[in-house]
Amino acid sequence: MPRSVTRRQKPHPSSDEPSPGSDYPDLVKAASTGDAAALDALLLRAQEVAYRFSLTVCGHAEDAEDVMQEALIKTYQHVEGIREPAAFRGWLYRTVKNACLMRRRLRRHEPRHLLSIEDDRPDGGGAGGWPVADAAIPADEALSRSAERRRLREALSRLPGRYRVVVFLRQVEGLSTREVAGVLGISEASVKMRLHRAHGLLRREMSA
Amino acid sequence: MSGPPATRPCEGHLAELVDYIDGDLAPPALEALEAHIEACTCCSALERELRERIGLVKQAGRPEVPGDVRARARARVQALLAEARRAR
Repeated sequence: MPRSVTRRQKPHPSSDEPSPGSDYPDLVKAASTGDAAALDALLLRAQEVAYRFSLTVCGHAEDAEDVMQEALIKTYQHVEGIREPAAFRGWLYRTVKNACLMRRRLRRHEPRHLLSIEDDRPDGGGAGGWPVADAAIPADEALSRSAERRRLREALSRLPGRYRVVVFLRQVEGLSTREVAGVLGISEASVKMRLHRAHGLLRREMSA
Repeated sequence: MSGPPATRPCEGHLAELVDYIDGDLAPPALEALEAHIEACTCCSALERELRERIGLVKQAGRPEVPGDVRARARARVQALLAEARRAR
């Protein structure tokens, strides 16, 4: 096999790093036996996941702290009784997704927002989506590729919610296809189909 | 993005290429696609384009938690842990 082919076998650059969730089972095991530092780390991790999910998938930055608190309390209540540490990660993302959906239901008077996660229409995210104008955007936005990154964020924000959530879980958070299917309650084939369509749409937007 | 976007005929490979970059493509489809990429400059360009975009998506989707939000969250964690210690 040619050398260049061997090089290509590496997954995308984000997968060259250790998966951000690869130490969850160890943390959960330690936390469930009373390790305060592990519990502390796990709770903070839960909140970071909740923050990213809120901003990126659900939109409404003002909901992020509520979703974080919900994730924190649920994690705290759940961790001591957990039987399968390996399943914790999927549980956490499902919990965060449900907390986001609960917040959205409270916004019933804003029908566009209710559609965000499961909507199949273009611009289904309404005001939600990737944080295009978030204060947390790194300073390197000013560098030469900033315009492209901004366009990409805008394109991601315009993706239908059901595609955006799959891109987020699979390619940003690094969940496996099976884990994403479990979090969203859909088949692995549907996860892949949504991911493929998302990239088709992104490509079209970025080439326009 | 490096180079011009791949042309339309290669878009039929887009789904396979996304799976490939994500590590979701298994043999024998994996070997077949790699051989195709070697031979097809258009798909090779599309693969590079997608790989780069997925890398950017990852960066774009991981905003840092602002310092004040993190501090409030941290305080909440500490309060919960202290409450648990008192209850024991």
